[in-house]
Amino acid sequence: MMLKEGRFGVQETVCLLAITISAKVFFSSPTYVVQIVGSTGWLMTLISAAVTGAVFLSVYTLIRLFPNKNIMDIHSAVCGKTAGSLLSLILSAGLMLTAVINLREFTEVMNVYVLPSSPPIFIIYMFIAVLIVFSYLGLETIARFSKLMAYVLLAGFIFLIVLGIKNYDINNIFPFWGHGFNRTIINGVKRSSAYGELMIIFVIAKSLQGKEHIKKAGILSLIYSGLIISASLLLFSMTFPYYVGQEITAPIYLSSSIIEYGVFFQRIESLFLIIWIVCSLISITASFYISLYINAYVLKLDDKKPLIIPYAVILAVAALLPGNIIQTLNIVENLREYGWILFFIPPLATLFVAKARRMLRSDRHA
Amino acid sequence: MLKKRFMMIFFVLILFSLSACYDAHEPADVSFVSFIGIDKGASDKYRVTVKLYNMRQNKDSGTLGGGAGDNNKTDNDTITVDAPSFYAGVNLLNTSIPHELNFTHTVVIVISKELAESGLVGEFLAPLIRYRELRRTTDIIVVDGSPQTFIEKIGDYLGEDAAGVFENLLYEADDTGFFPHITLNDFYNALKSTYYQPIAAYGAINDFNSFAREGQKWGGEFKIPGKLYAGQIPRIGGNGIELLGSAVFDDDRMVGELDGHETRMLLLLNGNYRKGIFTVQDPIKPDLIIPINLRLTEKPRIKIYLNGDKINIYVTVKTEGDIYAIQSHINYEDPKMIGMVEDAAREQLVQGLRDVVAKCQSMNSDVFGFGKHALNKFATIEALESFDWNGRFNEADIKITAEFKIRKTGGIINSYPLED
Repeated sequence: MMLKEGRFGVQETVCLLAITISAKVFFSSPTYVVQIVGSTGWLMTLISAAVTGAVFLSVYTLIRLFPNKNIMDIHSAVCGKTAGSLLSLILSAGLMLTAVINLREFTEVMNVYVLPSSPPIFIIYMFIAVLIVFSYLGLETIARFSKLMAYVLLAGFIFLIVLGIKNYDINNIFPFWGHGFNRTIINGVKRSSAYGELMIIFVIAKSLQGKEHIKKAGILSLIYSGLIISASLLLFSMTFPYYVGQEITAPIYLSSSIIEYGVFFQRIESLFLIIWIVCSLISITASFYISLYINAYVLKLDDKKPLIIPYAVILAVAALLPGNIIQTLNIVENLREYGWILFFIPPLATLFVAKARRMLRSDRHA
Repeated sequence: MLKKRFMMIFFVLILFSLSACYDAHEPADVSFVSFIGIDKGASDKYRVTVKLYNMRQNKDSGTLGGGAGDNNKTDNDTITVDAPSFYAGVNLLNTSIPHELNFTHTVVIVISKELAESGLVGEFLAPLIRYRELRRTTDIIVVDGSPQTFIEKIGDYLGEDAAGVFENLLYEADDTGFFPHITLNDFYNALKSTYYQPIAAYGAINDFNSFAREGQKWGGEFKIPGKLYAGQIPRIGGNGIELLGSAVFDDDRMVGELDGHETRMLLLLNGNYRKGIFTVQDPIKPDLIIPINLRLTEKPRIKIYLNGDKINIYVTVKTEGDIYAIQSHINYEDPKMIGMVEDAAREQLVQGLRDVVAKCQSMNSDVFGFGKHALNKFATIEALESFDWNGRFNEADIKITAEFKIRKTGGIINSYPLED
């Protein structure tokens, strides 16, 4: 009996993927972006989104060639069972690594700003408990919950943007090219794995209503997440000049904490916390669940629920491996720079093999 | 059934964690610090003063500390310690204070002029900016004299507790323009900047000695109000502390002060001026004055031209105002006469603006933020930093023009002269 997930539409998929991809902007990534490219982070991320879009459209041709199949089926059909399984497991490893490191980053930032006396394991266990409940309820629940929360989160995000107007200084986005035009372009391409979670759409292809929905959902998710991340980086750059921005542990959190309108309207970061925690929950749960799903699919298991708790334990233990916040952020940066190997290479490799085999077949027919 | 029971037990257990466990702090278990004072120490490097928020004396408790005379009473909630650093000081204080000190409601950081002039501000602020409890919206002021004495002097006034008094006093920067409202975030951004310099509000205790109870009465000489420093206002009675003027820094070292009027001109130039009474000398009867409620019409227009190493700055400040009084009763409201007041105000403004720019250039400190407007002249951060804006500011050629228009004349639209 094949693993089956529920079915949901474009809106749910867009909400799920946009939240999953955008959640990373609430952690320390903007700080590293400013360190690397200066004030052009908002432009750099748009370049990353464009590169991811190109990869998406390329891999989408596989979906067109193999309708009603997900990427794991396509890997096996094109590359053979063993190689195909290996490629699927590489993608799964990428998603699991993303979930692990995002969870640890979330824990560290919570430790710094909100719960300084709580041991990391306490925060991780609380998070994992909710993650397990979500995983048991299934992908359809996660997707529908994302759609439910997306409007609230977007409204909260826009509210924070508007409130922060007093602190924006347009001069802070200059010098326009930051640390240089070349550096902006090169890092934009290198860090395209920031949108790597978009590949999830190919994993859940069977839950959508056809290949046109997949394309529409993928493009819309990329556009929305690109706009959200770019807007966040732009507004962060306008709030803090580059030399201060590259020091901050949680830039967006700090941007919300300096919002002050008189004696009464201040300490808005509590609103930001709600947005941040819900986004992180959806993002980490989605990455975790899809990784689990790929593994169960490749291993041809009838039911993935027995795997949830063991995988959650692995997630918790792996999240505790980095010794401190600096090690955690180094891993994050490595994932941003080299994550494309895990996210983009497997489907692109399959595409390459598929094209080569089709070319051979067409030569034979000629 | 078993699954439902398990889920119920699970969710009940989760509920216990909602109280935050390790980080739960009852308000009675902590002492909130309203003010932090930093000075050079005698027994150790720094002298750290903290004033604790006295819950029994807040405005809701009904046991207020009276009026002006009562804020001198001995406060055992203002404590000072000499320590090598801020954190060491906090730890040492907790050997006598039974509650953990909490800085989430700190209103202001008070730095002594002596510490500011010694260049230790950057060193002291480094741990404060990293500290999660101390918000970047906390204000920063420099005081003439000891922060310990200054903080002890802050007490209840006009029905408000000490923290509320000072918090509201800081907002008077918007009503008077005589001192800037500078937060830790503003100060730190300027401290680290390579293209503008920090300022801080200037405060002091007024011992009322400037008030001349007896002596020769004032003649007709025109005097611009606010050309004083904090502590020098000739008054008697009222709050023991005052804020007037600003401290000018070159990186983390205080290099000079601006009086109240100069600070107002500075705020006009950096666009942070809201409103204040600007006193114009009567053009026809120079021994009389015309107070005007001055406002900025728009943010100043600043154009920067870089000619190799030479900086040219053109600033246009557009202001407007309402006539509050015409002591001479001359009919300046007449359209033929109103221009005289506008011209007089404009000239006085331009002179004040030029004087403050010249003073800050002599200190080589771009506290106006002109450097921010030059950022778009550079393509990259490396080019900007190699230009060394802060180092070249004293050589810049700065041209200032001002515009002033009268908008309203108050309750009188046609002054009738007094009979001689």
